[in-house]
Amino acid sequence: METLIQALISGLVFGAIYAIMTMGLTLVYGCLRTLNMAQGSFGMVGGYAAWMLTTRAGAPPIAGLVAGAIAAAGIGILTHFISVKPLVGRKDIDFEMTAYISTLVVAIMFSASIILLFGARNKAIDPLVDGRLKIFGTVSVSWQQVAVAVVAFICLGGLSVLLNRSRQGLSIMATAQQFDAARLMGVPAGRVYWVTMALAGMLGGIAGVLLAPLYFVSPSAGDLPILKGLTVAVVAGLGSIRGTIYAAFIIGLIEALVATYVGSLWSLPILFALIVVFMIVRPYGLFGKPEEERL
Amino acid sequence: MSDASQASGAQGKLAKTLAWSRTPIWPTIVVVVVVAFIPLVWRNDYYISLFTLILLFTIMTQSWNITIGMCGIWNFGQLAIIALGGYATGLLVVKLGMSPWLALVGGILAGGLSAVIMVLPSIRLRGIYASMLTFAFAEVVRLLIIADSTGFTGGPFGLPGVTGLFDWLSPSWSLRAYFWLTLVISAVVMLFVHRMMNSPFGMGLVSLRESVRYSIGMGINRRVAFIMATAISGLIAGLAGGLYVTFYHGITPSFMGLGPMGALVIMVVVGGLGTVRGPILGAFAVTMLSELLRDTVMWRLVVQGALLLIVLAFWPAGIDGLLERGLVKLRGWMNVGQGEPEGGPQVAVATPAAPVDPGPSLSAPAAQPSPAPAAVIAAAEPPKPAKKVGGFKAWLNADQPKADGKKPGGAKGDKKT
Repeated sequence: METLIQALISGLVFGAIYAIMTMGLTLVYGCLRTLNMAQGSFGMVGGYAAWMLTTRAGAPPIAGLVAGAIAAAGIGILTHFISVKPLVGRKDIDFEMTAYISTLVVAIMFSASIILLFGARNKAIDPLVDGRLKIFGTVSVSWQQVAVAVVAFICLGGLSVLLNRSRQGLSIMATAQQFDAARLMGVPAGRVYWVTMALAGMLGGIAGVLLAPLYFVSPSAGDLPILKGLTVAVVAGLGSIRGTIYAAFIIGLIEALVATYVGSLWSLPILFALIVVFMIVRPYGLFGKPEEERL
Repeated sequence: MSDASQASGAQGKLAKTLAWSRTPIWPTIVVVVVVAFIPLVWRNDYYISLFTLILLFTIMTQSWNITIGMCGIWNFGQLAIIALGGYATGLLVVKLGMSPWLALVGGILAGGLSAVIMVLPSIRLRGIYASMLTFAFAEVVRLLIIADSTGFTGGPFGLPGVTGLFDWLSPSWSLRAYFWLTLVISAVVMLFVHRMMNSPFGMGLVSLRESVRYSIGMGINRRVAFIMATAISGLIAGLAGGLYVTFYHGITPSFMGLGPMGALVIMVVVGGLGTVRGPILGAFAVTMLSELLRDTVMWRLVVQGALLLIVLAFWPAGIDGLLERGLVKLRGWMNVGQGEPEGGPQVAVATPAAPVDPGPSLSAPAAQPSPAPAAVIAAAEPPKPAKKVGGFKAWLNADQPKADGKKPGGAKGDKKT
């Protein structure tokens, strides 16, 4: 019983991280029709920014979180201008495939540049808060996990307010729904594109900083998050915000349960097998739309 | 009417192009024999091993190009297939003590099998979902091998001690033997792929890439065609993996990492997606480029990535498309004397029929008795070049005006092919 509760709690925490990680992918795919393979390296860059500020310069961890978010947003904008913008609106290429390839290559370039700048060694980073919170019996949570969940929920709530209430968010939604109509209504689509990428970068960066104490900061720190993000996005149905949140928690819980009861080595293959079966039953994911409708 | 006769002439040409043309074998044999003499004359072992690596890469890119370029299956797990073929070969040699030649067969089969297993669930999926599923498959394979602590695959440190195919020879002769073997194999693979693409089966694959509904309507069984193409691609990939393992006497999971993956993507795209010539040009260009930058491994990745971004932004058809465009332009200049209209070439695909028949056959193809099916096909064709078909179709047409155009720019590419 207690192990079950422990597993459920850790599943929920990981689900929250997966949700903000995948939300970046979802936003960018919904708005730009680009499956952004550089999303993982946004988190990696965010982790490095946080490491420089906290471990090197000795700033408080919360400053590291903010710095990571800002740095990753910058990287997101950079990614947009070097790899996506040159391809937008071209008739002679298959946009989705080409953008996939170009963002994948940008991700590789980022990790190579990070190795050039900082070396290949793993960097340790302090958690946001130390200590453990005892709930009852042997069930306990580390305060870091609590902090992760809180930050993730703040991010998701803020994102929902931003998308549904603010001008900028509404223009993102409009562009995602009907690109041409949005332009005709005076939405500056070019700006919406890079703002979306910056937003995705920010979410990726926050996820990267939150994950950093668990997995270290390293040039390949983006590989696992992008893999998890892709599986969540596949299950959710690309471009569906609601689906992303459901799928993130479902996958987080499945993973935690498998890791607890079968062994953590098996969590990835079992998850993958489940997803393959799921894709055969529902080829467009939980909330994916077969054709044009998005977000 | 001269117009009509001209049109029927063009039709004949078109019919000839569309027919199942067999690839001539002799030019390739000549090139292979000539290239085979290089290591006897040029005795620098380093460069011979470099060229062997390039040839290995051409086999790999060729195998990948079948699925991603020709069938339009968004397969981003090819590196895992190659590695699985390699691991199978290596394990058979190391654990069972098999002869490496026999183990190579095992590697080939493992490659074909794992490719089919990987692609089977993603056939029904839309492009981008298939890419994610295959990418995830490859990552899972990589992470599993890294996490393997039982010592079966060697875990993160890789599988060492695989016997080479030519270990009974002296090192430098073994190197040359590898060079010749990979040369012959890559030539055979290339001829095979070219023939396959010109066969009805290959045409069916290309049409599936362009329009699934249309091809199903024409009676192509999508599932069977994709599974067969994947199996062929996987067999070739397994062969490449087995050769790689025996050549380097081992393999590590980092072979499946993002770096090599990026290198392979860059080769295929820079060379020209969906063409037979592209992967060869790409493998050559990218390997030579990274050779120039060999002192700084990480800069190499950055520079290669920048190269890919530039190519995507300016010449999405890759080096092959550039070559093709140059050829078409050249042909245009050469044909000016013969009264060929100068309007067409800028699209990179000057279908012979397109400039000749103006309004009538395009606007009302069904009503007229004279334009036979070929003309209907020609009428259906023009909208397509807008997509990236350019390279492949132009490639089909490339062998028509043999007399001119062959010599200057195309000589290298054509012979290579």
